[in-house]
Amino acid sequence: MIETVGLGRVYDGRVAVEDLNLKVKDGEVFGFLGPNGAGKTTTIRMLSCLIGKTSGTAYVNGFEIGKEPDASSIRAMVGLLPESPGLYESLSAWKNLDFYAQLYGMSRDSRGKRIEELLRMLDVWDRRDDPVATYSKGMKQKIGIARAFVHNPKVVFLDEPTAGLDPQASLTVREFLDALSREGSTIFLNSHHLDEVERLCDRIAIMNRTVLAVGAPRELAEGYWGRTTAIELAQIEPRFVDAVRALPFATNVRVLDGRILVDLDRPDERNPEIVDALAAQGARIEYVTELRRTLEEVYMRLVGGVKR
Amino acid sequence: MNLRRALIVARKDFEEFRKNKYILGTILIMPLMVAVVLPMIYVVPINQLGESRGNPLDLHLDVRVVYANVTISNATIFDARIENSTVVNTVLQGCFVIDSSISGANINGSEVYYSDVRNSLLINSNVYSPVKNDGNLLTDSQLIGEDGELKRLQDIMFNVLLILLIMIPVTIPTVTASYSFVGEKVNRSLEPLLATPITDLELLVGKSGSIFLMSMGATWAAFAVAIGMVDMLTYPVLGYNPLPTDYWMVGMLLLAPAMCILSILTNVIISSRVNDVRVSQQIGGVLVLPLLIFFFSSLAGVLSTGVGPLIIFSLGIFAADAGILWLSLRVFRREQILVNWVL
Repeated sequence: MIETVGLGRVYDGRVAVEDLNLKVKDGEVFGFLGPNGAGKTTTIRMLSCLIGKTSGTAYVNGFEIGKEPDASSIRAMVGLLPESPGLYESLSAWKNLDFYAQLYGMSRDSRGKRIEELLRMLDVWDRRDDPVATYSKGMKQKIGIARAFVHNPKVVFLDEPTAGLDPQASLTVREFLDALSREGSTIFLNSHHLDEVERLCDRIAIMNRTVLAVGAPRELAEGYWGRTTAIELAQIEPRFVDAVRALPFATNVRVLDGRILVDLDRPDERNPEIVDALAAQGARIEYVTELRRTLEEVYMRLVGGVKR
Repeated sequence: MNLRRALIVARKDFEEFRKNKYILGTILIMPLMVAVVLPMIYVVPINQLGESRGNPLDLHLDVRVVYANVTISNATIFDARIENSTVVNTVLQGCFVIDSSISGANINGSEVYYSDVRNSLLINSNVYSPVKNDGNLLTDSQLIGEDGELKRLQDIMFNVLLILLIMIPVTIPTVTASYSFVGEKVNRSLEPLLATPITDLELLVGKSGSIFLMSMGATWAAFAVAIGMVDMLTYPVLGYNPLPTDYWMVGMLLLAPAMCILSILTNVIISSRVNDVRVSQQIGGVLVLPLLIFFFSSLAGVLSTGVGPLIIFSLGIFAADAGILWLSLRVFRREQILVNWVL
């Protein structure tokens, strides 16, 4: 659905994005993570044909960005929620959405049905005729999201979709995105909310001008640290640790927070051997669990030290 | 270009303007002031000068003979209607003369309309709107309608009123275009709008079209009201409707739209450089300068107040419109708007 090949953008000598290589599959929810100024918004703007590229290229549903008439075709099939919802404050939610639906060439009937469906899903149906100026920030963000989906786009770019939303509104938006992704839209979202990205996205790219890592959230963690088994004993003694270290497959054996941690290639096969070795030394094993790395740890490891 | 999409944008802008009290106030109050209040002020000196000339005499003519398209010389004519004729060295008594050329005549107890009257003696007669009024001696007669001093005063008053009316299509776009373009920047609504299939040209045409139609609607309504007001207020004194003149027609149908387009397109360019609605309006206000220079040059006698120079000036403004349209299209591009406009 989306493919970038060495995509880059330079603003007046300042590199915003360089050598970006990505593939986003049809119907995928793809998260884009990175610090401020990492080029996330620039990437979205290039892919939605708002600005041009300075190097490389990209394809959205087979159409090449930055070239007419391909760019027009891309604009017709994508939806966009920019960093700020950018609504017409004196108009109602209904009129805001209807205006965009008309620009996308939708018929009166299909516009009405779609707008009602979206506003009901986002819990703003009751306020549909009120001027947007009277809405809370969260409601405006919801209308901005509804606008991005109003024409049943094949691809939707969302820049910080839950920024400024309270937990309840964030949940509504997450459920909404989840429901619409099941309808087949490819969703490409920028976010700083690691937890949200981890929950919503099938795959994630961490970027800082270029892509630093791509994968499913769990794959990313495993890719950087391997898999780690944590063994909790009634009492840790040096001989127990030495027993584990003596095993040929165990690497990076250390004690942390009262647990023995061991990095393993295939924990499902190796964990019983570790348990046997510890039992042979008389250790009382209370728990054997897999130590899960958070996306935040991966993110901080990749971009934490980067100063812009 | 897809005109339908331009129309959708224009309709949306209309809706927004309709709900903006500041814009609505500008569209209603300025034309109302210029079209209703100012004619009342301007008509006072015209009426005072006209009234000082007295009212038409009550003559009660009894026309019995009609002369049309003839030459009358060295004759004495009583109780006749003389149309489109030449009258030389003749005595006219109790006659009604219209659209004729009269010289060396003795006109007594008669009414003369729209005629060229020279070197004649007018006694106890009414002369309405003479084409020429040279070397005549008026005794107990009334000269009614435009001539000499009154005509010059009218020209000045009506030209100033015309300037003010043409300021309407210049001023309304400085307010509406500022809100339309700078407002989209301030509200950050340009980015999602530019992400739709609408082209840059469609967007420019839609936005400019709504502003043009609204500004010209208000302008032409103001013209109609101003003409009605002036005619209604001056007719009792002048005895005819002084407006619209050819000069006003050119101003209304050529110069006003040309200035409106100039104002809109200039504001598009200004909007690309500023990020504040008020700054945009203030810079846009400079546009009235060429208009003022032209009209005051006319009034000062540097330029003729005839229709010809006004047509040439209007065409010059249309040429400037074409140049500024070219510049606007260069400025109004997606990439430029998003990267260079201060969003």
